[in-house]
Amino acid sequence: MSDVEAVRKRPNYAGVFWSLFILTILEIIAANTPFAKVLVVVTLVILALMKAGLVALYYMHLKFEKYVFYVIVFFPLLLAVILTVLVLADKAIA
Amino acid sequence: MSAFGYAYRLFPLTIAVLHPKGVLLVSVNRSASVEAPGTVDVHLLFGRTFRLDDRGQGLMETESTHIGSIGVDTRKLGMWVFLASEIMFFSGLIGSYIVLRFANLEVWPVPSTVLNIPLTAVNTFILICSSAALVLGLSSIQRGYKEGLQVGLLLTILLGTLFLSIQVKEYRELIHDGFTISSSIFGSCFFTLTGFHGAHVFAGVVWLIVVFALSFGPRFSRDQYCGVEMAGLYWHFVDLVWIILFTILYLI
Repeated sequence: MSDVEAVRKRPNYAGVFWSLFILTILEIIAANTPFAKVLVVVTLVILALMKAGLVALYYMHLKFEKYVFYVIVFFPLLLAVILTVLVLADKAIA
Repeated sequence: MSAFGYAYRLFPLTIAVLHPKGVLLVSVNRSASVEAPGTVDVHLLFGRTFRLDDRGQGLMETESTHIGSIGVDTRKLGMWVFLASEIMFFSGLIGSYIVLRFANLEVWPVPSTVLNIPLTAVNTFILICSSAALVLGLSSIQRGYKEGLQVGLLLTILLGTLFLSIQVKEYRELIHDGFTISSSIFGSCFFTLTGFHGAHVFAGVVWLIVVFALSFGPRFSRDQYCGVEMAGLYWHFVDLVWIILFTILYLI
C-alpha cells in the first residue's frame, strides 16, 4: 500500500469528534425532556452506545483490525450482560 | 559489534545496556529466533527486539518478530486481552450498579438533584477532546511528524489533568454537601464507579507522560509508533468507559 493510500485509509477523526460532541449535547437534551421515563432511558442508552461504538471503531481502530479483536471484545461484554440479566431475574421473580 | 553484542558476549545475563544513541535498553526476555536460525532475539522493554548472531554480534533491530502465527501483532493482541480484562472489571461494576438500582428504586434519588450535571458535561467534553488530540498525535507520527505527536500528547496530558482536577472539585463539593461513599447506596455506587475510573485516568496520564518523555528520543518514528498506539488504546478505553458512566450515573 502506498503512503497516499495509507493516509486515505485513516479515519475521519474530526468527523468522529464532532459526532461525539453532537451526541453528547443530544444526550443532555434527551435527559431533560418531559417524555415517558422508559422512552428517555432507551434513547439515552442508544446514544451512549453510539458514542462508545464511535470511539471503539474509529479512535481504537477496531474497524480496521482483524476479527480476533472483535472476539476478544465481544465475549467479555456478552458474559457481563448475561451475569447482569440473570441477577436481575431474581429481582423480577421476587 | 553493537553495545548489546559486547555486553552479551561478556555477561550473558545482561539485562540493561546503554545504546550508542544514548537510550537505555532493558531486556525482558530472549529466545532463539524462528525467522533466522542461529540467531537470538533479545526482547526489550516497550516492545523492541534486537537480534544477535551466535557470536553475540548485533544484526538488526526488528519489528517483524512481533507478528504471531495468526498474522496479528502480538503486542497489540496482548493490549486488547488486557483491555478485555478491564471490560470485565467495569462491566461487573456497572452490572452491580444496575442490579442495586433496580433493587432500591423507591429510595434511589434523581441524579440531577444530587450531582452537578453541567460541570460533568463539561468534563465529558474535555475527555472527548483529549481522545481527539491523541489520535491526531498518532496520525502525525504515522506520517513522520514528531512535533505533531508531541503536541498531541501534551494536549492529552493537560486535558486529562484538567479532567482529574474537575473531578476532585466535584468530590469536594459533594462531600461538603453530605453526599459521601457511606451516606447511601447511591453514594457507594457513585464513588466506587467514578473513583475507579478516575484511578484509570490517573494511570493513563502517567503513561502518557512517559510516552511524551520518550518522544524526545529516537524511539518513535514513521515506522515505529507501537508505544503511542498502546497508550492510545488505553486512553480511548478510559474515555469509552466514561461515556457509559456519564449516561448511567448522571443522566438516567
